Amino acid sequence: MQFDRTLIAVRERSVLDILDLALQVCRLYLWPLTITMSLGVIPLAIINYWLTNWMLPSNAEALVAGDQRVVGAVRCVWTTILLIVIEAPLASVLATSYLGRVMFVPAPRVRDAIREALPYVPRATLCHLLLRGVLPAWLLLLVVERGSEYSLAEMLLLLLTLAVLVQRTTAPFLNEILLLEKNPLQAADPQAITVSRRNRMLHGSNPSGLLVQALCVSTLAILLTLSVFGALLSAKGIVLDDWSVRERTFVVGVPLAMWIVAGFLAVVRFLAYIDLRIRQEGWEVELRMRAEGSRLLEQLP
Amino acid sequence: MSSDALPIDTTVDIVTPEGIAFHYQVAGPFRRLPAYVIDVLIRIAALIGLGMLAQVLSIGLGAGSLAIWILAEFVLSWFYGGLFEAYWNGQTPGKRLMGIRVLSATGRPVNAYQAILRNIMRTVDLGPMISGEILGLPPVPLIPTCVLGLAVMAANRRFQRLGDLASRTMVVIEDRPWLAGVARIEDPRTYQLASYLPADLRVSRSLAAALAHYAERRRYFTPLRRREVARHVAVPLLAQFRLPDNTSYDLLLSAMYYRLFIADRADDETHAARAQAAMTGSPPGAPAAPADQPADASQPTVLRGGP
Repeated sequence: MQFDRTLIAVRERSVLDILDLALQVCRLYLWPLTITMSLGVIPLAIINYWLTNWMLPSNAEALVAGDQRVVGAVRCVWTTILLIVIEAPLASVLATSYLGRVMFVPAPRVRDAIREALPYVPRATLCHLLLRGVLPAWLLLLVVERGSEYSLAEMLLLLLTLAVLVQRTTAPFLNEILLLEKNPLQAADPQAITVSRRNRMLHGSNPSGLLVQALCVSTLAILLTLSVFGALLSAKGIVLDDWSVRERTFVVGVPLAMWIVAGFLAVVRFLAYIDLRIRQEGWEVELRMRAEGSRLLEQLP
Repeated sequence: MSSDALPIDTTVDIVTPEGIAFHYQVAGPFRRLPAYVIDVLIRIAALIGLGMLAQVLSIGLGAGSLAIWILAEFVLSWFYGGLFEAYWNGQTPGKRLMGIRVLSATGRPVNAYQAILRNIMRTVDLGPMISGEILGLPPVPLIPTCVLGLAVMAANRRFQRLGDLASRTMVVIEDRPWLAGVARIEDPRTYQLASYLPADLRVSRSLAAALAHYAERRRYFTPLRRREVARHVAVPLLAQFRLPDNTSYDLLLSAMYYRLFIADRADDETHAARAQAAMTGSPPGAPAAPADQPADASQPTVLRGGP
């Protein structure tokens, strides 16, 4: 492995350049990223279905009024949107691990990336479940009063989502720190770089830059989700010659579009992480120094 | 992807028919989006302005003013981009503001045919369109999703949408001239350490480039981080130069940088000044300080460099 020969060009980039580069990375590694992302998404999609599907009036209740059906569908879709927003980084754990290999290994195998990530997956999952609001979100939905139209727990879920978004804006690279840097959560050695210390090193000096980046990426993510959902609707209309929009279209289409965009955003986040390390820690300088150091050591008698 | 392949990047190399090679950074869909939004806003503003003008003209022209407005709307919708790009050398107002330009795929300026074709094809790139039936309207393509254009752009290295492929064009980010500076060395201990380095100090080209890179970026790093980054090269160099192990890694690399890039330059400037003085008869050494006064090296020395 030659440290100064990365397979993704290392240099400082603007947010828009990072988004463009992410498209190139998605094109070249479409299938591995689809597989690793799906491995994270499928269990979460099943959990979300289990937590929210009761909000939809079932077919047996076909006699309920049309308005009630719409209200149920909107409630279900809205809750699923909040859940996906919270869960997206957890779903991209394996994809992030794969992307870490893409930097140095030509055509890395998914199996190797998963094998390498496995020891760290429990820790990353635990961090997301406990520190990034995934478990509280699930618990809130478990205590929702199923009979009532309005629930305090659902309001709390919205507040939790906002809190998680703020937390993620100020410290967005938890997966990268846990899976690629492999920093420990806690360490006895006061000099050791723990997750929180790495977080402060990475995010502490430029919070306004991170905020601008988060706003820009979030806006584009919403637009992309709408575009993908529109394309799915269009594909359904063209293939089935059915342009009608039923509740189920939203219940299936919106989460599908969101997960597709979440996969793309995982690549964007990884590239933004590389960019931040380049800016703040001189990562590209370090890679170069390591390569030169290796050469010098070989020359020493 | 083989290890010898070019790294994934948003750049392309174009060799013109004359055999001249150019290195371009191509603009992808996200880089182009702000320019497109600006152009759409300009078109909307122009249409509103024309609408108001048509209202005023309708007093004198009657229905004729509506025809003029419809004609203007048609021209703006279909030829705004094409005409601007044809006459402004590949730029619309939005592209000019965002510093991007349309070029033909061979690196030459676009011609009017290419400019107009790529803009007319935009309608296809905005697809698939959602039918108006979804909103209970007649079955006409109504809401653009842009996914087709996005997918086509993502599928090629030059980010060409269907309009670009049809007209053989691409959108590049304009080169801006930049200044490459010689990094400042603030710590006077650097010069002391530099004097302990071998007189015939020679390093490989890659190590010299790495040292220059380090010197340029080190001022952004914390002392701890400087030590962490410099350690990789400093440890073998300390052994090679037989310097004490407790020598500061950062100082060693700065001293090497000084010896390789600044001290020799000061020598050259001294020699040039002496030669100039000999030719003009002025006292030698007046304009430039001798090389053995390292304090001069801390003065900013900026050189103009190419991109």
